[in-house]
Amino acid sequence: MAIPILKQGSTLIVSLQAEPTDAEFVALQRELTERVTQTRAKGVVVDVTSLDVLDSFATRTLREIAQTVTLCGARAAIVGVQPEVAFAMAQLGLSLEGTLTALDLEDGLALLHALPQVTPVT
Amino acid sequence: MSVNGRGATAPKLNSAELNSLREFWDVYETQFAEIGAEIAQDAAAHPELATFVGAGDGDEVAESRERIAQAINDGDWADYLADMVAAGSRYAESGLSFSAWFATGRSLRSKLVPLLIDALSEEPERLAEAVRGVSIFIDLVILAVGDSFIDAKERIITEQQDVLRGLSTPVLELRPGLLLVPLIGFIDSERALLLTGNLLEAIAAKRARAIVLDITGVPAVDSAVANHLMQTVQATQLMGAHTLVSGLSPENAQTLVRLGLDLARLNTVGTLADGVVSASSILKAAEARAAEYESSLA
Repeated sequence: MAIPILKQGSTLIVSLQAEPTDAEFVALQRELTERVTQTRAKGVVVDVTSLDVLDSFATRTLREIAQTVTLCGARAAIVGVQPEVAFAMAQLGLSLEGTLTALDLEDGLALLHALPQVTPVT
Repeated sequence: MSVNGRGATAPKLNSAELNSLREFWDVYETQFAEIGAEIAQDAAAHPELATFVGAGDGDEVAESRERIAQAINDGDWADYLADMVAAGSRYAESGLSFSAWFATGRSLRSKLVPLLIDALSEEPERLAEAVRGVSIFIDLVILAVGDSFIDAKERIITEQQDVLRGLSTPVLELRPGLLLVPLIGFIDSERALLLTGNLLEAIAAKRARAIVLDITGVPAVDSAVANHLMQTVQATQLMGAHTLVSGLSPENAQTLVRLGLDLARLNTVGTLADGVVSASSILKAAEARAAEYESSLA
C-alpha cells in the first residue's frame, strides 16, 4: 500500500506508520518529489513518531528526501524521532545532518512556516 | 591446603596436616574457654574491636568449641567455616578494618604457642607438630574470614556505585523547554550512555527545545569523552532540540585542538551563564515560531 501524502496549505505531510519497507521508502521519495513539483508546496513534514527503528537505509532515504525536496524549491523537516530511536541512531553513527528536525508535527510545521520563503534568483 | 570461603567447603588436608591439627587441638581444647576469655580481653583493649566484643556467654563458647572439634576430629568443617564466613561479612559491613580483625588472629597465635610449649615441653616432636597445627588452623580461619570480608566489601562497593550512578546524571529543567545537564567527574562510556538515555527521555517528556550541557566539572576531556559528547549532542538534534556545550576549560580546549578533532558540531559556548543566555534565545525563537504559526492558522 502506498504511503499517503496529505496536503495542508502549502505543506505536504507524510505520517509513516508501521515500518515501511525499503521499496516503500524509495516509492515515497519519488512520489513526494513529484507532488512537491505538482502542488508547488513550500514544505514537507515527515512524521516518524510511530517508528521504533530507523536503520541506515531509512536514515539515508530520509536525508535524500530532504535534499531532493530542497532542490525542488521546498524544505523538509523530519519530526517525532523517539528517544530510543535517537539513542540507537547515535550509537550506530547514523545522523540526519543537513536536514531539519523537530520534536513533533506541530513544532515541525512551525519551523517550516518560519523559514524565509525561497525566492527565485533573478 | 586450600579453602574456599565463598562456599565454605571443607579444606583439603593431607594426613600430616591433619595430624598436626589434632596435636594442637588436644591441647587447645583443654584451655579453650580460658584462651577465649583472654582474647576477648585483648579485643576489649583494641580501639576498633572493643565494640565487637560480646559478653560471650557460656553457651556460645561451648558451641564454638563443639564446631572446631567436629571440624578437626571428624573432618566436617561446614559449620565452623560458615561461622567464619558470617563473621567476615559482619566485620566488613560494620566497617571494621582488615588489620583490626587480623589482630585477633595474631592474638590467638600468641596465646596458643606458650600454651603448647608448657604442655608438650617433654616431647619436642609432638610440640613441633602442634605448633605447625596452630599455623594451619589460623591460616584456615583467616582465609575463610578474609574471603568473606573481601566479598562483602566488594558487594558494598558495587551497591554504592549503583547509587552514585543514579546521582551522576541529573537532568534539570531550568524553565519549560530549557534543560540543564551539569556534568561532574570523569565521563566513561557507561556514564555517557546513561546520560544520553536520560536526556533523550527528558526531551520527550518535557518537550525541551534547548539544552545546556555544562562540562565545567569534567576534569579531563580527551577524544573519547569528546566523541561521547558529540554522540549525545547528535542524538538530541535528531529529536529537534538544540544542545549547547558550556564550560570547556582552556586546557581541555587546547588538548582537543591538539588532538585534531573536529568539534564544530559540539556547539560550544564559554561559561554556563553564556550557555543559558544562548539557549534562552534559541528557546525564545522557537516559541515565537510556534506562536506565529498558530496565529497564521487563525
